[in-house]
Amino acid sequence: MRWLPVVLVLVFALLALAVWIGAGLTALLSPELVLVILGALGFGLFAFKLLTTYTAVLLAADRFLSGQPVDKKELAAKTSKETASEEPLFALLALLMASVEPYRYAYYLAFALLLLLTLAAVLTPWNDQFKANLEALFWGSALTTFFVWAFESFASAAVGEVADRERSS
Amino acid sequence: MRGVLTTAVLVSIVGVLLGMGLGGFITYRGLQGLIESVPGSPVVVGAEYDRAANELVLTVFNPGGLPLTVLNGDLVFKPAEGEGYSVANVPINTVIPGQSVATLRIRLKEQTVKPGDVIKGGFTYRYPYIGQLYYTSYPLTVGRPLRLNPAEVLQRAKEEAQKGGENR
Repeated sequence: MRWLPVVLVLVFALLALAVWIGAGLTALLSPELVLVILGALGFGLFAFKLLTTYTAVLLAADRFLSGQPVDKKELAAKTSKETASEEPLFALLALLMASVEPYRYAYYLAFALLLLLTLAAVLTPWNDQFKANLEALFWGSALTTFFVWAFESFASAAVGEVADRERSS
Repeated sequence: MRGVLTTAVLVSIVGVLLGMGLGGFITYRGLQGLIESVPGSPVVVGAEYDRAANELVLTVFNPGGLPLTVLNGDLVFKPAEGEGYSVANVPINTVIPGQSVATLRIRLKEQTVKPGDVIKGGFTYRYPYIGQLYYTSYPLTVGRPLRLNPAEVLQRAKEEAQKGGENR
């Protein structure tokens, strides 16, 4: 494991280089497009915990519905309830989703604030370039918000499926 | 709680709407950038003779994106009967920003103007950086003022062009 930091640094350097080249190229083409990407990535940072949690719920539900074993302990470690692994799977998944509820509210609050700010700016006679930049950021964040919302909807539908299956069995 | 299928349909609909919005925004900005660099010919959308001030009033619309600077105006007066005259180099120096309308006024000589007389007002203009002088003019028949909506003029002109006719 002595080479792990080296690999991590190399991977990070490679990613940073890719981002730098990509951002530079896109900025040459259109500043709005680069702002859309930056908005999506920036809100992606906020959304990271939400997206990983919903992905974990979806993967666990998928394993369960296709008959494979699910590691309940690992899922339970992410919730605040220590005895969560003794609950039925749908309750465990629901707990897991409930544990990120504050993050979800904070995320949607940030998005709503940006939405209101953008609407306010677009409706005022400000500098056109500034308005366009703000709108570009908004569209980028809307892209990420769409993914968050879609993952959340699918995760909650999957929990429902798991509950149906567990009740019928 | 919604089922998986309902969720999929809902997410697809929202995704398509979001894509339309985002694509529309990027296309709109691209088009705006293109239009902002186009020098458009000024269109006279309003012309009338102001009897009180003894002036020819031209309302000029700049349909392009580049601002145009009106340098100076001139005027040819052709009465239905009798001698006419012309006035040259009336300084105006007005900037008409892109996609906007400005009013130009050119004073006539003290002479009676009757309905049916023709006043031809013209002006030279130029664009930033482009080292070229342009000239355009509009003949107004007194008593028949011109009052048009810029958007409507452009729409009609486009329709005429699509018909293939150049008739006015």
